[in-house]
Amino acid sequence: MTVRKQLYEWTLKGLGAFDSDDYPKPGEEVSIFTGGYGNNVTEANLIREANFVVIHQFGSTPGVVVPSVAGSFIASGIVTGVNLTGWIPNSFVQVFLDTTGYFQDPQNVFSGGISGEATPYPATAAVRPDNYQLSPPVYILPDQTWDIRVTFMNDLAAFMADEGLTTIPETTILGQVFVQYWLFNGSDALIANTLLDYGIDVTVDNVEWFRRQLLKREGLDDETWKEYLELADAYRKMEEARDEHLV
Amino acid sequence: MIRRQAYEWRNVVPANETSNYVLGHPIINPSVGSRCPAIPARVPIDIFTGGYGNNLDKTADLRATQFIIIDSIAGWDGTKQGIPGGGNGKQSAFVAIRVETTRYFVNPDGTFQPGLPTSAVPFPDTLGTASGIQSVFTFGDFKDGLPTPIYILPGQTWGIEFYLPDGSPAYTAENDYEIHRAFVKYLLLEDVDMVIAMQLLKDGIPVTVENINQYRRSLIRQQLYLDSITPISKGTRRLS
Repeated sequence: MTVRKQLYEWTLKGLGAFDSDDYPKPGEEVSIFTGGYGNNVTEANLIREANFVVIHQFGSTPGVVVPSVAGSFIASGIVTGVNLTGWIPNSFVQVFLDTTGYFQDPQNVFSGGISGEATPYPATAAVRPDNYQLSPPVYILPDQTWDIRVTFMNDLAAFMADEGLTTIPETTILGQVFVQYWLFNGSDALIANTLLDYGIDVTVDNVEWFRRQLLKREGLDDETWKEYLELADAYRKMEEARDEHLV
Repeated sequence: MIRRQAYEWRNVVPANETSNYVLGHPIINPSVGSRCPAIPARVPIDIFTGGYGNNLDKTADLRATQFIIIDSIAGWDGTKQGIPGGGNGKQSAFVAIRVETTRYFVNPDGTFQPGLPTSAVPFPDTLGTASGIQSVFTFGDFKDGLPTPIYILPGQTWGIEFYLPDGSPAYTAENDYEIHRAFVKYLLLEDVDMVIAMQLLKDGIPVTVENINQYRRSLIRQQLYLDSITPISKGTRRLS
């Protein structure tokens, strides 16, 4: 029985002598968990029976253009000798639930997802994370798998070849992705599922509130509609109290 | 299902691309460069199918089971400085919403208005770290998106328009702030949630995630109530 805030940071760094097979191809969708590049985990993210996940924010490296000064990448600090010392990946992030992509284009086809410009990670003074928040959040139910996939649109291999570069030092960060989520476990996962059935938002506040309601009732029959009416009424009152507090 | 969606338009194509647009976001080789096609002055450009930057195959139209709430639009005037016909580092572009053939923003006299200035709704919020580039942050009233969200109903077409009063010449972008952009954020409601959204609309209730969830809860409550008062059949049970 726990509610835990979890996070996962994926980083793609240089590996020394350049081999194009060591890095994602441009336009290729890569899982940050099991994609075979950067830091990975050992198996796909299957939500176990006693878990419930709420993904509420993610981000990726911002930037579109690899900066140059009057056409020179040396002057802009991207290239030093035969080394690549900086990079802008031009990234997009897509969330997957089982085999379905969360983001789609306005013409109803699959899209690459949200760019690092809209969800910058890390956020800096120059680029701020004001433009996109995952609201409402994404619920991942027991027995579902989920994934975060990143697509880089700037062509690293072609750039290395054209600029005559041979090395990407380990200190060069090529791209990052970050995801934050709530992990509900045990009875909290059961409560989360019940809230979902009742049409109530799954938040930490609501799960704790529902647990208090259960404790108050101490074993009374939970299956009758009267119980639900009481719950719904209590929820409405709590919402009103919250609204008053916010105002 | 309710999903938070966003679409980002950038007026940029690979420098070796002959067309002014590509389908989807382009793969760019930084050595070859990024070309920002010239944008004509005072012509609203549809960011989905306008023929500049990343485009879609067809216009954005809603299926019978979809409902959209557009709650935020933003943009960026990236006109490069120091070139003939170039910009001054200030924001002078506009972004607007079009539903079917109707433009959302109009002047007080009902005539055409180009929309929200990108100096009020920049994308992204930018601290001008380069010489001559203005620091621009979202204006207070738009921090939480459009004060009155715009509903797009099933079967309607919609679009977002980018407008540059002075136009922009073609050039190679060497930095992110030299790219014209537009960004739209919306909620996509599908299936049951679309039906609830239409019902809320009919009842004059604002279509928000909270109200949709509340309506769903009232449906569940009503169904539980109906189940509890439905009389149990007392007839003779036939066993064949």
